[in-house]
Amino acid sequence: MSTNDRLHALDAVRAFALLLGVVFHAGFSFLPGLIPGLWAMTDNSPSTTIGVLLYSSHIFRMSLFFFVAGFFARMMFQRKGARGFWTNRAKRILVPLVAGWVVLFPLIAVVWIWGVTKTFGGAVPPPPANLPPPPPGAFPLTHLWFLYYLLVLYVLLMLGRAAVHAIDRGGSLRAAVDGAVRGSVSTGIAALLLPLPLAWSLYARNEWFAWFGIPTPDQSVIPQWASVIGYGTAMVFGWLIHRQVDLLTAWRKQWPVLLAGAVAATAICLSIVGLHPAFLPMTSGIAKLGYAYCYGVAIWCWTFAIVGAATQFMSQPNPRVRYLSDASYWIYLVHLPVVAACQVVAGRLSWHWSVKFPLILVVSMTFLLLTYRYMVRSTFIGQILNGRKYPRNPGSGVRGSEFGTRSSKSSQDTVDGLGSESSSSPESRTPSAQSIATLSGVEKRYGLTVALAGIDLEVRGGELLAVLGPNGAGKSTAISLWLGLLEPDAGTVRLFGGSPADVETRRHVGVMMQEVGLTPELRIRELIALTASYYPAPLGTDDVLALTHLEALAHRPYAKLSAGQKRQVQFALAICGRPALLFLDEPTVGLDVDAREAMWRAIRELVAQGCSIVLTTHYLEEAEALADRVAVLANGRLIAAGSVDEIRSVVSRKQITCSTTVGLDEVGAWPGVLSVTRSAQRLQITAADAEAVVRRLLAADQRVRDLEVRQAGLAEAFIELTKEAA
Amino acid sequence: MQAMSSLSLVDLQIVSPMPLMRVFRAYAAEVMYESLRMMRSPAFAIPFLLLPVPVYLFFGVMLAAPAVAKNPGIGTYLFSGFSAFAIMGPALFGVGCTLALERDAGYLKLKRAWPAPGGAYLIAKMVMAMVFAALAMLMMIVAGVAAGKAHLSATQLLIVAAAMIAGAVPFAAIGLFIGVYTSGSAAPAVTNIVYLPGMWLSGLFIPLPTFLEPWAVIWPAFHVNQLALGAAGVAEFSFISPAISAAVLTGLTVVFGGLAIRRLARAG
Repeated sequence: MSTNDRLHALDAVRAFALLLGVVFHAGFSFLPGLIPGLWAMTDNSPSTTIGVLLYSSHIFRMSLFFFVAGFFARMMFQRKGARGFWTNRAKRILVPLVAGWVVLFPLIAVVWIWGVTKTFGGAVPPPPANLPPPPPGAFPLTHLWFLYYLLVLYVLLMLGRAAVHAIDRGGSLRAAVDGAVRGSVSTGIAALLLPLPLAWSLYARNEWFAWFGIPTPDQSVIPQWASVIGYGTAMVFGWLIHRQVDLLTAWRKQWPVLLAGAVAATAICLSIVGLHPAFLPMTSGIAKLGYAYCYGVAIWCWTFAIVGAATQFMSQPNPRVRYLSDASYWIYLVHLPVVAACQVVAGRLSWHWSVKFPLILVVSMTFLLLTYRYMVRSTFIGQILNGRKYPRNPGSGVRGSEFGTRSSKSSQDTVDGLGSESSSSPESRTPSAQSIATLSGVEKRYGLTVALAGIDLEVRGGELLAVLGPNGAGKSTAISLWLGLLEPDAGTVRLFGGSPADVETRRHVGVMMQEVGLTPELRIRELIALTASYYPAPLGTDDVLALTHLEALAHRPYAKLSAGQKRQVQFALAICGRPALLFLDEPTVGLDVDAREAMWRAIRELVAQGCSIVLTTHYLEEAEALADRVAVLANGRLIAAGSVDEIRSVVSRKQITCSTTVGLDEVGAWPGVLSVTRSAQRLQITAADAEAVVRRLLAADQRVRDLEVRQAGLAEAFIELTKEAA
Repeated sequence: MQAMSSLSLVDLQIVSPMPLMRVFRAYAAEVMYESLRMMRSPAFAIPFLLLPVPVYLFFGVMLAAPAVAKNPGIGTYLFSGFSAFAIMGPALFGVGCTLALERDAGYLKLKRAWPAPGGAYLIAKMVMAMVFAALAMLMMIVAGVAAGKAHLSATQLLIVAAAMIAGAVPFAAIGLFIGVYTSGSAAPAVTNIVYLPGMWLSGLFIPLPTFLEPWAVIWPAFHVNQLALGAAGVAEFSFISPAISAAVLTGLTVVFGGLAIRRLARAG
């Protein structure tokens, strides 16, 4: 049983506890002897069966919920730390509490007034004169009290945890507690010990409506003792169980016995308190103490039995259960006015309860599930409640596989050679002398990080300049400066002799950025039309679609494209304005071979027609295939610039590999050898003067085999250069 | 690539200015596509466009029937109140949350790099809010007239509608402000903090407890409602001069819109 399996099971348990609450409230109007006016509706077909069902479920549903909450609280605390924990809880508990109350309270009030008016046939009697005074801190929390108590208990839990950590520095106390928990769970005594504090607090309570178990603390913001103790015990125990997760397996074996115990304890409780709810406080005495204890035993037997059964049967991920688990939070939050409204509608119909009760459940659950499906699951509400927004259309999540041509030279453990004259930047062949875009002495910092440390770079008319460099080298910063998205800290940035901040200047610039999300609802054709509208003389939309091979996707919403298709669309948007200067930031990432070839062809055609292009890339063969000139950035500095050939010749080194008996150290000492490694039987030599090294090698070992000499590719040149700059 | 070579892909006329008609078309395209995409987003269109009318019919017409029978003026007040409710949502959420999401996605950066005409993006969002307000008002007027609970003349209905459509602007400005200062995941929560209390505490549809009554003036929804009722000449529920409400709403627009634009220009 992996950790994830446990989570599936406990998620299901939490959903079960919440959905049971919907059942509980849906049955409330059918309680026998319900005092009119106490609930939104008093149904004209009361039912003892429903009464017993509600009584039994109400014993454990909230304790079970708080137990699971305690378990997950520790899990989250472990994963996210204190700060992350509180941020998460603020978003997922506090916001729903506040927002939920503001929305739901008026709705509940309206339904209640409607229902009570109907209950009394239009003439609501005045409230009895001898009403008890409102409790201190009176506030109608409604059923959302559970969120409030979660927050209160989290605070207490965190304080308790801090206190334990302060006192118990050596961890011996915690070890003792863990031992006690393990012992009590494996022997089953836990279900008999845990009820003790609750039983005492219930017994000590003056006005205890015993039929309804742990008092529902929905009337006051001042925490009620019995409730804090009852639910606090559950939460703390959940927390402690997470310290030793394997204990869950104990209940997996014990659950049938625990279930029998739960039914027995529930039966004893019912025999004391009666099948019909008593809306009166229990009189003090030994029966009260016995009942309180027995009630607590029932709570824990039910809780452990359900958790055990769930870990046995619900551990496998199941999409339906998962969906219900996600929906249950929303459903429980908003169910009360919905369920009560159904009860009000049904309350005076002359049908039997066995028809009405299921009907109320079905109608309200259908409504609640539909609202979840259409208003929550894929919206910000789902984001807040469940921490994630599901895509509206689960089939569209095709991930573009990254095309694996990254020439990452597997880093062998080379004995590194000497430095070289890497920062000499040979200037040469120019397709056109005219400078289209320049960075002159440009510096840019983000706080203390230097992104660009005094760079001079120019793009000439009709050339393709490839900007290479590792992540964080400053490539994207340079492009952002040229696009006017950033202001340089020093130096000047020019585009067509003007400022990039000027819209007029940018009307001749096309751009494709990294990691950009376009409007998901717009179709490809519309995105192109919108972008083209910014330019003075753009291409027609159909031409753009044909050029970029996107005709088939023209009417597809952007959100439904694969990663690679999205890149193609972004390329289409970059060229639709017939730009004279084009910035392409890693354009072919995520494209398949065909799409990449097509994009390369389009890029070559643009250059042929006189477009100047700045292209950043990780794919070195892309620069080799397309670039007129290459600029290499590392750590915010320009370390080399020139044609592809020139960059290669900057590192005039060659790779020599052979099988030889000559020793590693001997070769390393020869002049002209920069580094040497041995892998298996083969020596690998990096040399500045390959011919001399080969002559000497042949002289030293007549039987040299598999001799191979080759020019370092741009990949090697690039790695050498950036390594030296670092 | 036959198609390609026959096309002129590059415009090397660097001096070619943008014709005025094309500038206008760029604004129009921006507005059109912004409204279109919001309309297509069910998470937005269902709660904010389709829900207000049923909510009005249920609470404002059916449940309020006894109160309206006693005082028909209440029907008019509820019509106006639910109208204000109907225009708030699209303006606050449609502007704020989408802006925050687009900032997160890097879309706004791309927009700034593109040669989109100045402010087109923000103007599109504002106009989108007004388009949605107009649609909402259309449906509210049909519902109100059909239910026979809005006791207003045709002229008065038009005045209320105009006031509500204009009233979307300050909410859009507040939305902009939220959108530029919060992340995409926080924006809905923050917006709700403005939306939900603003909806209930401005006394749009339920009588406020006495101690909360004087505080209604701090909520923009109260002023939109007062502007509409005052301008339409519904004296019974006109608590403050519509001129004051108009001034408050203009002030809100300037302050929140201005702060948002300033921040956008600096940080994007």
